Amino acid sequence: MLKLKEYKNIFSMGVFKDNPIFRQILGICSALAVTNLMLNSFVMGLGLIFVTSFSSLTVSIIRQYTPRHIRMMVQTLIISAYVIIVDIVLKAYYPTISEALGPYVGLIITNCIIMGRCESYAQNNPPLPAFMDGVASGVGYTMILLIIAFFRELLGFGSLFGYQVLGGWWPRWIFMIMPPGAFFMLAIVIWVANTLSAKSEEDQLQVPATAKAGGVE
Amino acid sequence: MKAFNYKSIMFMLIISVIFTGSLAIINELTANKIEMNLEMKQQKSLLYVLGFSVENQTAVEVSNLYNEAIEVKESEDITYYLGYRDDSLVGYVFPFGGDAVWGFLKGFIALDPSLTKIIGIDFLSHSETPGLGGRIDEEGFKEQFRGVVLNTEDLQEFIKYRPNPGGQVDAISGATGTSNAVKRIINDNLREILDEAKEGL
Repeated sequence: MLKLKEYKNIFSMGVFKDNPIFRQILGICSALAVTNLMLNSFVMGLGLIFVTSFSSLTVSIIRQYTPRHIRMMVQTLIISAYVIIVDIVLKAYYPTISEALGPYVGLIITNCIIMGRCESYAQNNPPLPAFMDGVASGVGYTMILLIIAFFRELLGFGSLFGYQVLGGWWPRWIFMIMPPGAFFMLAIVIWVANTLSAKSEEDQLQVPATAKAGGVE
Repeated sequence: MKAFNYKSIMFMLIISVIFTGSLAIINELTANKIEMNLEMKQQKSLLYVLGFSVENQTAVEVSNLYNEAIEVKESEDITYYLGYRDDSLVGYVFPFGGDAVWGFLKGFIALDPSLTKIIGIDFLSHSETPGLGGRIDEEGFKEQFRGVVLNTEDLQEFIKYRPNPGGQVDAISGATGTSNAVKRIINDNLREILDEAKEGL
């Protein structure tokens, strides 16, 4: 069994030090696509947390039985099964959100974060830590999505989670809700995050700047 | 040459059966629910285009209202709907559809009994980009079509976007492709509907 400290480590890796978006630059496509509304980003994040954690769990459980050379095929199968579950559940119980997310739910399958975590972590670690690692990466992803969406929705629509925050006096920046707005916001987030993390790495020199826990594209 | 490995194939087969099996079960369990959601959506949409308020109503209320207000008619080529309010005919609803930017777009359009004015439009399904073209689903866009008078002399363009002279509707900024596609689809369908109607409904 893992100690609490190690779980803490998994989380700080997934959410901050090795954040899938601003450190590993994975899962960018959906981060750009669904972040013009906070609600969409939130649901997308929940979907991804679910899929990443359970895929990692499943891959980890069967890792000793999986023939090495077909492991990628098996991972893809597992991931797509979970994504279809998310899709069906949204369609059945949350039809409005399902429509709002449109094709992006299905596209969770192609999100590199999930495969990255399965391949680099779940394949070599016991189920529970693998599950937590999936949750941590998903949370890291969701957090960044929400930060980007916060600015895009606020500046573009003047609202947050659909509630009007800024009054009619606010000139809505249409630019922010269009794709280029996402690129600029994402770049700013990566810039800020890397500046901050570079600083903290200088403070504690024992951590090498290149320490990365294997991002797989 | 590497020995052919049956173990891998067996493993893949077994795991595929397990996963597709569980997906099939989940699909079976939710199929009814999804079907009902679609039907509810269609009923709500029909009521919405006719100007009934269906926001915040329960499924039962919507379906009661639907049974009271809407009558389905099938002519040779199309299915259309008659809308009644207090037992008097308030309008016709026609399904429409066409290719938009990313895929087929389907919706309903309601016309007044004299077929000269749009009562409302709604989109049932489309594949436009969420947040861009997908914004045609927003009230702000759809509500603009209410009360648009059809100029039956000029059969080319019923709907025009502002700032064109005679424009009635604002397009969506950042989604010119979808806006134009919607305009084209509605104009084409209206032409067909009015042709059809000339032969009698």
